[in-house]
Amino acid sequence: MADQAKALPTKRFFVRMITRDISIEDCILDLLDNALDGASKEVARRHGSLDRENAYDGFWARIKIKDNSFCIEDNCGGIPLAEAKNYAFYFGKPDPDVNGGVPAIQTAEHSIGLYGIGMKRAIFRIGKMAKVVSSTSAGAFEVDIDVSKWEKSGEWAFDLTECKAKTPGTTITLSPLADFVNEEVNSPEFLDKVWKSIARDYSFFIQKGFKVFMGDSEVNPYQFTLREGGGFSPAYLHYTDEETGVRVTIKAGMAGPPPDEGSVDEKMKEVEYCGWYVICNDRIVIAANKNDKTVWTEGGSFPSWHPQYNGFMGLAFFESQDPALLPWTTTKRDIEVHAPVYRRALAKMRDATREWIDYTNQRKGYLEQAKAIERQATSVPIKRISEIKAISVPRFEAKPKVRMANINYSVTLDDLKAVATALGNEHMSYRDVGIETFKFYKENEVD
Amino acid sequence: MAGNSFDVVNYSVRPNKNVERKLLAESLAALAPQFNISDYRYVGFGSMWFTDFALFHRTLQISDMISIEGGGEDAVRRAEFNRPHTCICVLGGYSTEVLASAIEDKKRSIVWLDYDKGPGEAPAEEDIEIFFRHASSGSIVMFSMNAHGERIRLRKDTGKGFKPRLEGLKDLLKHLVPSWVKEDDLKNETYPSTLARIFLDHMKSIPVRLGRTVKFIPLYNIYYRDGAPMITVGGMLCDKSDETTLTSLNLDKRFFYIGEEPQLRIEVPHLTPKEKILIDCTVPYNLRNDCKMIGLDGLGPNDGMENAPISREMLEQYVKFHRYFPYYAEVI
Repeated sequence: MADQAKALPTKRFFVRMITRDISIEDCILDLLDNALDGASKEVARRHGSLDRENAYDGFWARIKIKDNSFCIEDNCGGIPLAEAKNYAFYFGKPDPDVNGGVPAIQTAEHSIGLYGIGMKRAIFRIGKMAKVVSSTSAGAFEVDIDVSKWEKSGEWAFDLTECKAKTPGTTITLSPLADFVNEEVNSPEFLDKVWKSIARDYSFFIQKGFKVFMGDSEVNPYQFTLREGGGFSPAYLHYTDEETGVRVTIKAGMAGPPPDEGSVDEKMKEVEYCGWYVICNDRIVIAANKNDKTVWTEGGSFPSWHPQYNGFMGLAFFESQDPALLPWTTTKRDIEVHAPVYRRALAKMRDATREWIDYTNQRKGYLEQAKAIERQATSVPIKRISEIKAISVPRFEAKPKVRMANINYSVTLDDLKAVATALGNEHMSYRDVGIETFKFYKENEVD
Repeated sequence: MAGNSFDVVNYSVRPNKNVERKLLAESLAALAPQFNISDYRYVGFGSMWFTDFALFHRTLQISDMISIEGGGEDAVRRAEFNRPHTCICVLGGYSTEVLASAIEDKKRSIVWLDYDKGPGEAPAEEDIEIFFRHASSGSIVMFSMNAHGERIRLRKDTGKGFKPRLEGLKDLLKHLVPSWVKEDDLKNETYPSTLARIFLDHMKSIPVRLGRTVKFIPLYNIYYRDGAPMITVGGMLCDKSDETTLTSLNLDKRFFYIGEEPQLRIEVPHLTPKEKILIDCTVPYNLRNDCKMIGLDGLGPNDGMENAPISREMLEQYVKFHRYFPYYAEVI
């Protein structure tokens, strides 16, 4: 009989591997995904479908971060005891053919959770000790995890204690926190970043009634809007992908006016909202993308992102009952760029972007006219934009040929501010200060 | 405070600023000897007057001092002529250019960047980042900046009317504006504490972002006004051991002006020498009875204010800060 070489992973190696590449923020969002999955199951159970206004009404999750402790609590139905024993703490999804006949768990319709790793990974990444308490209307359980003890033990299982059913929901408490995590999660800018990510990336769920609290404050959803009017209308097309049956919807257009020429190098506010979004089953997988994961390519047939394109926003929605057909990766915060369903959509996303690129080039020659037109366009929530296949942008009438000259010179910032103040607005753009002073000289000194 | 002409400040004397300087000096002195303050370096904007330098040299015995002077070569020459002590080195250049070289040699420092400008105009964000990258544990940083609400009331791009203040603040501070800030936090009365909150939170977050194992412990959140409303925020950069030492000093219990919240307001009243001398006789004793005794009755709480020569609010502000109240006299 052939001899065997042992190939079991050590637990410590395993824990390091699964937590290595994930940020704390992503772990927190993973836990939020689990809460949402619970809510989706409940909604599907009660109403059969998630395609309803306010489908998530009544469901909430609350994140509490204190010194050396992290807690997420929800009322999203809880984890059934059988599921907890056979599935919820499993690393990966149990396969009935391989894992001794463990029954497959039916996935929630539109499930955003897919790989059965989020909760454990979050626990290992954030906490040294964890307590998971979950209750359905039928029963409840508690699991206490001491990460370093568990790493040393031989058993690939966690001790689970059954207890009396309480209000349905799950509470995960991590305390004390892992090394270097406490400082990070308690930094005000980290909390603000998580807040902004939740507001933006869970916007569609929150708009459907799901509530997320951080401490005592409720997170308001970011409102995606595109501008209509004055010759602008966003692209809005939808189709069913023939190979996969995935429903694809693309909306793209002007979210805000592009920057003035000359100010493109300055830090613009809200650029964190410009670019392409990919949304799978209401979950924003990549947000405000400005690189080759979406349309922007380096040296390819399509231009790479340039600050000149700021103001553009495009959203590509992918929806399917079967989450495995959607173009996303295990973290659910990245897309699978090689997925054919995504490749096919990308071609249409490029078409929608092309018009905007051309417009931002064209407007340089008609800046004043363009700004006036842009002001006429008003923000419309993306839900309410009119159905029109191609993005449309204003065209400019060719002006009678006047030969123009560009002036470019530098002055000290102090001098510029002084002149701007004298002109009545110390925050005037540099360009306008130049134009106004030139005009003044021309009016006063030139016949 | 009332808008009467006798309440309008003689800007050159700036009594509130004067009080603030003394508060800072007193609390910094309280850090010694645990923190060996006399061995620190002081870095500030001495201008031509060096008021803070002279005070800190005198009260903290610091003799390694650097004044950053961004006014060009002529200003540097004039500053060198005016420096009150030869231990002050005038370093020409903008803070953003030279601050790193002033603190990067691992010596502990007290850095007070007393800008006269507001956010977006003063390079506060850049300078804060430089400080947190280079300063060693035990170092102290303080930033003063203009907190006039009108400064974030910017004109719309069309030139007609004004943008909401939140828009204006985002134009000036960009990504630094956190999501909790609402229009109501930016009224003239609320803006100074909002601005301080934003910068204190920012300073607490930077060490983590820079991967430094030190922590920023806030000590100062002060509002004062001699003309333009100003705020000063600051604190100490601490590793574990400095944090333990700092905590053991109980500064927040010993000094009413130390702490992150609420914002301290320095609004000292302008008293005549006669008023001042009389009130000085009463503090810190039983204000009500003593006032009666010396003929200032009507000044105490619920004590027939209609007869009071000065308001209760003025009196309270004075009593709070009387130990730091400046004396001004003409010297011949």
